[in-house]
Amino acid sequence: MTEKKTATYVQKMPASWWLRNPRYLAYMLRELSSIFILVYILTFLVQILLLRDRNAYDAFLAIVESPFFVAFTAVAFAFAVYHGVTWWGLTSKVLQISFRGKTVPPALVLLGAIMMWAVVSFLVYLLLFRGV
Amino acid sequence: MVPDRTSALFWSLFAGGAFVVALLLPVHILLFHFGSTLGILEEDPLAYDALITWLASPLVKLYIIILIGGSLFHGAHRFKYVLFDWGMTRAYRSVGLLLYAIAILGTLAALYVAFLGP
Amino acid sequence: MALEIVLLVKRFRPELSKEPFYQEYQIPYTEDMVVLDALNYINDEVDSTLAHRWSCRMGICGSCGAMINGTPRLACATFLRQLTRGIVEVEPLDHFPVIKDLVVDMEDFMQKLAEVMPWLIREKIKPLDRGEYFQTPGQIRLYGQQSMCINCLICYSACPVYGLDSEFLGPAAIALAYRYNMDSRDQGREKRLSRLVGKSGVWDCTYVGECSVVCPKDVDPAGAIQRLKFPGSLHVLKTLLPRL
Ligand code: SF4
Ligand code: FES
Repeated sequence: MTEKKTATYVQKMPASWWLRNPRYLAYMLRELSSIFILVYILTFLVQILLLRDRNAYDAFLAIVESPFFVAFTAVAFAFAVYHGVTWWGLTSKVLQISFRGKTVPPALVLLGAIMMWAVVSFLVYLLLFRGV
Repeated sequence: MVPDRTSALFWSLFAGGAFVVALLLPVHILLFHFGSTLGILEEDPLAYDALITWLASPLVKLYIIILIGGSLFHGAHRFKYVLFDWGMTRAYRSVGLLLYAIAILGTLAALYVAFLGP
Repeated sequence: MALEIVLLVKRFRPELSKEPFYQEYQIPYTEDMVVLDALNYINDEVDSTLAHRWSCRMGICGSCGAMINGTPRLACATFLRQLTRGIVEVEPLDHFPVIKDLVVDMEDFMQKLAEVMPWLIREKIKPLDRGEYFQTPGQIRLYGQQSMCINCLICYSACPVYGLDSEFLGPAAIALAYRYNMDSRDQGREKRLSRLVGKSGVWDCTYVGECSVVCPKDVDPAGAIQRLKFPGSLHVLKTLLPRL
C-alpha cells in the first residue's frame, strides 16, 4: 500500500475501565478473589507450620480468632464461593460435552457441576472433619 | 513462533488450582473456621491438640497438599493478571515470576508439614 | 409533528487539530431509523465533512462498527429507538488509532488475521476433478458458530486486554483460528497452535467474556479461546518431547 498515514490518535484506556459496565465489574470482583484466596491460604499455611511450637501457635491463633481476622475470613469465604460459582458457570459453557452426537446444554452441565460440588463438600465434612 | 512455555505451564497449574479452589476452599473455610461456632462440628478444629490429631491422618495430609498447592498456583497466576488489568502491562511479568516462586515455596512447605510433621 | 433527535459525535480532524472534539447534530427522527441512517443523514444534509464507514446496511460487511452510548455496536444494526438515553453518543471504535472521525485504522488486525492462517491448509491438495471435500452436518456444527465472523472488530473494542496491550492477538483472530482448527477438511491445526501458544497468544486472555457479549454475529470468541488453551498446552508439551 502506498497510502501515507496521516496523524492518528489512540484513546488510552483509563485505569478505571472495569467500572464501565456491570459485567466488567463482575469480572474484576472474580479476579480480585485471588487476593483473598492467596492471603487466606498463606495464613493457613503459617498456622500449620507454627504447630511445631505450642506458644507460637497459640499466639497466632489469637490473631486468627480476633474479630478483624474473623471478618476477613468471612469475606474470603464469600469470595471463594463466588469463585466457585463463576468457575462452574464458565467451565460448563466452555466444555461442550457431547452425548450421543448432541451437545449437552451448558445449563445441564452446570447443574451437574453444582451437584458434584455439594456431594464433594459433604464428603469433606464426612471424611475429613467429622472426626475432629 | 517460540512457544511461551512458562505461560503454558502456569496456566495449566492455574486451571487445575481453580478447580481445587472452587471445589474445596468454600467448605474448608466454612468448617475449619465457622464449623464449631455454627454447631456443625462438636470440637473446635483450630485448638492446638485437635489440629495436631487432625493432621496425623493420611487423608488430611493429602487434602492439605492439594488445597494449599492448588490455591497458591491458582491465586498467584490470577493475581498476576490483576496487575495487568490495573495497568502494569510490563511489570506484571516479573512480579508474576515472584508470585510463582511463592506458590512453589508454599507448596513445598505444605509437603514438608504433611510428610515430616509441623 | 416532526420528531427530532440529538447525536453527539466524537470527531477528529487531523487537518484542523491534534485533539478530538465532540459535535452535536440535531436531525429529524423516525421510528425506523438506525444509527447509520442518522450518520448518513448528517453526511448528506448537514455536514459533509463527517467521515464514517459503511457499505451493506445489513450487518454483513462489518464496516460500520462504532461506540454507541459507550458500547461497541454495528451502526446499521442499532435502532435509535432501542437506545434509552436522550442524546445518542457516537464515537470511533475503542482501542484503535483513529484516522478521521469514526474511521479507524484496521491494519493491526489485518496483520494478525494473516498470522493465524484463516484458510484451509492441506498437506496435499486434491485436484478439482476428484470432487469436493464432504462434511456431515455434525462436522459443520463444530465450527459453524465461529465461522459467522464479519471482521467488524467490535470484539476488539470490548476487550480490555487488547486495550491495555495491543500486541494481543485478540478475540476475532483467535476465534477464526479455532474455526479452521475444528474444520474436518483442515490439516493445519499444529501450525496454527504454534502461533497461538506463542507471545501475545491465547495465554494473555483472562476470559473477561465481553467480546462474546457484544459480537453482533453471535460468534463466541471468549469460548473459542478457552477451548484452545488445553490443546495449546498439549502442543507445548509436545515441543518438549524429543522428536520421534
Ligand atoms: S467475532 Fe464478532 S465482534 Fe469480533 S470481529 Fe467477528 S463478528 Fe465482529
Ligand atoms: S454497514 Fe455493513 S455491517 Fe453495517
